[in-house]
Amino acid sequence: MSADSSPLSISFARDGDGVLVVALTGELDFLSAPDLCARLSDIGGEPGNAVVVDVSGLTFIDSTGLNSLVAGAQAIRATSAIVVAGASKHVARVFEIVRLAETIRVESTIEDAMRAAREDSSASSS
Amino acid sequence: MRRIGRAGTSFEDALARKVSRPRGPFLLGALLAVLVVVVAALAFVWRQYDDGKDDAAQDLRARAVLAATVFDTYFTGQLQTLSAIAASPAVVSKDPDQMRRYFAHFGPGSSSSFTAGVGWIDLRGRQRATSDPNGPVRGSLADRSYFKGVIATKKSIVGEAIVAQRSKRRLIVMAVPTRDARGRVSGVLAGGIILQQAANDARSNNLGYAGLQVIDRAGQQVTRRDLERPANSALVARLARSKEGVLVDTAGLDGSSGRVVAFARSASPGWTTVLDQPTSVVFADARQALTREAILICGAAAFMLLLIGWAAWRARRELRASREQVARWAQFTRSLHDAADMTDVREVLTGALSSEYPDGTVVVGLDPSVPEPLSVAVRRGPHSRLAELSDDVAMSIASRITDADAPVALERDVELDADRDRRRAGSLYGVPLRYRDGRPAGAAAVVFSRANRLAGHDVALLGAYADQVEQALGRVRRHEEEHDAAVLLQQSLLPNLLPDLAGVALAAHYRAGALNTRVGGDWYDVVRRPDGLVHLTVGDVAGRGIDAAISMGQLRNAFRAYALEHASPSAVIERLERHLPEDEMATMVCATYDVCTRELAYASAGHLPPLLLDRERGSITPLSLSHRGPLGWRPSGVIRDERLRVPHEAMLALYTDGLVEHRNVSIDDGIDRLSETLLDAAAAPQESIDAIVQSLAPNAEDDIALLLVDLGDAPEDIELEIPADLRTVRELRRRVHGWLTQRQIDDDMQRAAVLALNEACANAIEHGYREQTGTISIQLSHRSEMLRISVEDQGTWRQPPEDATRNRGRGILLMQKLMTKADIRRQPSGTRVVLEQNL
Repeated sequence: MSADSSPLSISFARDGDGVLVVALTGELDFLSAPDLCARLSDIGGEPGNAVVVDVSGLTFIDSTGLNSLVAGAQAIRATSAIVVAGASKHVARVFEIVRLAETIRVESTIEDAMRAAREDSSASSS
Repeated sequence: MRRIGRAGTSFEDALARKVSRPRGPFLLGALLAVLVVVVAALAFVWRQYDDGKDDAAQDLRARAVLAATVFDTYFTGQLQTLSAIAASPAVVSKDPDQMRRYFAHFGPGSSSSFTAGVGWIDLRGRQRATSDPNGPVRGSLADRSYFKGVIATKKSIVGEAIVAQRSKRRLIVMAVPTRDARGRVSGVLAGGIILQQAANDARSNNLGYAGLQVIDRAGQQVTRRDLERPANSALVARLARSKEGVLVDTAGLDGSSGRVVAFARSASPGWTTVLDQPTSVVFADARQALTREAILICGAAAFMLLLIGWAAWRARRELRASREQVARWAQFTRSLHDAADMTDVREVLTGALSSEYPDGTVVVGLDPSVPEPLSVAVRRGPHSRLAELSDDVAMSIASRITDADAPVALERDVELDADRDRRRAGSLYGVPLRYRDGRPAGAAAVVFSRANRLAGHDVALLGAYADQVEQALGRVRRHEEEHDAAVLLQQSLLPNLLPDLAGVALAAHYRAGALNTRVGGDWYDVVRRPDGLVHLTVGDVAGRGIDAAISMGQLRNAFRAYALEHASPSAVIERLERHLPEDEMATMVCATYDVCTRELAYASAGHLPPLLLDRERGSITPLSLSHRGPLGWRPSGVIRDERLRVPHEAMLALYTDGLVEHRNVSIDDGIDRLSETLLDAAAAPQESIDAIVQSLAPNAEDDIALLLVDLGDAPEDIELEIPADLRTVRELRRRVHGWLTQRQIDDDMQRAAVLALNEACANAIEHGYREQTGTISIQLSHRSEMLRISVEDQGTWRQPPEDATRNRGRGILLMQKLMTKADIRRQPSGTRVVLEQNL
């Protein structure tokens, strides 16, 4: 019954068009949030990337997790396009409540997100 | 009393010596001695018998001699008479006519002893004159042996018996030479005697002359009508060789054997007088004497044997009595040693004295505590002729001896009086009983209907009994005190009240071990953690008495501390190891129940497996345990938590071995019996636990702890308290999820509620406590239409930094949007968030 272990896993994958897919699996709460924030900020340091944050594997997200997502997105947005996508019903409801879409681009599916990311990326780079 | 006590001890020694003294050889010696005496006496009597026989034989001989002498004297007289006739002038004159006239005096009808008459025979052998009226015998008598004998020897002679030619009567003819005036032999004067019938009659027999036979010179038996010669001629020849004698156990005259033959010869007639009698007759007296004496001796011997037998029987009886006494004594001391309390001591002493004196009434009074009156036991022996003693009389006897504080011996006319009762008894003997420190403890007495019933050593024995009791009383008192202290200690260490837990019904049963096995180190406890987890434990410190109780207390206190600190049962057990005193061992099991999730975690250190009863399925599962040895055992082995989700309608039983292990029942069988009993007990733990213990261990000597826990469904209200630490919130989410699932809240609502709770908690931790430690209280409540969650902290609200405010704003927003109502009240004493969801 220990809560020390982090239930959030963060994986990175780059597709052929140079879109970086950050897949989040597990619970994004106040304990895992700082880690995500830091990892996303790191990505922000590498310009020219389009980033898709795949949240389809998230089972739980709280306000702190949202904050970390927003903070990380803002860090990335300085250099790259960022899209959040794949939210499950419950996560989507949270996104909706906090109106995340007003801050970060949110797509429902990964495919949409990939396309949008590529568009954003090319738009910003042109 | 002490002096008597020592006398009693030496009495005990004497008993032992008495029992060990050998008796067999003594008995054998006595028997041998009797045998020797009997043999000697018989030999002596035999000698006497021999002598008697000898006397009888000699007696017979003397009789024969007497008879022979009589005959000798008679015939000598007759011959003298005949010689006198021969010297008469008529005979000297050789004139037959003169002689005839003279001889007429000796004819028939005269008083002459020559019953056959007399007659003169001349030298040519012709009878010239006779007393016979018929005149002289014609023909020559020269061939007659008496004539030839007298002519040849010129001496008188008694001839052999002959049968008279005419009368056919038996005759003895005596003859003497006659001489003429010049002294020349002129002829032979013969005189005859008719032999009378000489049959033995009663008179002669009485005189000892039975079997009298007279044998003449020619070997004829003159005593027989036909002058027959005896059949046994060898005997006759033998008799002829000596003048007199006695032959014992020889053949008789008629040749029959087994005779005594005494004989003597009469010189003048040349007769042999023979007394021929059967041995049995001759030796009858000797035999009678022998028989008489032998009977006497045998009688004496029998009497002596009887005496010896009686002595041996007495000795054996005494020996058996001694052995029984020793056995009784051994039984007494053993029972006394097993006595656990004053009542036991009293009963043991009463029983022992009663079997020692079955004809008496035993009174034993013991003082359980000084201000109270004596507690008295009375036992009337099976052979007592005394009426039953009333309690008052018994009390009076016991009190008096106790007060007198000295041994009492009333040997006759004892008056037993109490307030309402008057009685008399023959004798009364009593001893006071004391504690080792000399304080009076009571008294023991035996009352008899007989006066002077006990001898000195019996009174000493009473003292010895009292002495033993003195020692036992000390031990019992120590024992009782220690037991009381241990029970008190143990009870003070065990929980008085089990916590009142929502969703968990508890019952515990603890029974201290019987006094003689002493109180043990069993314990149980239930700790409800603030976070709602319940730690249940049962354990057993090896050993007995105060030490075990102290160790148990230490372990239990440590358990309570660690139970609050650690949620994991194995973590709690691991940490308890160091609280067990050196060289001691304990087993324990700890089960941790989460009422929110219905999860049970458990771990054990060498303890018996808890039993999980599934009421719905009617099954019992012993909870398998990791292989961790008892605390204090090296190597201890690995311990880890085992987990399971308990079924609905479940009950958990934790117990110590006292419940399942008995003298004749293996632990496995005991666990099986417990399982069956649990299955049968449908009622709630509080109602069934006493009956369960009673049916499994009605009088167990070991101590027993049993904890029954009804693991009910998730309650509709739960209160939790968690540390104000973000790390605990994640676990809280999981548990509240579990509770909501148990409460059958739908998934969307669950997620919403958990997220809202999460936000409220995060809010409290970040803004209420900031970096400070503290706790957050959470109340969950589920009614049919409403789910309500309250989160409260005691932190002081501080205005957060701006960005944090914005971020936290999302949290508040989430709470408000996710729930029907989110009420946040900030007060100086803390913040309270109430979240409500309409269902």
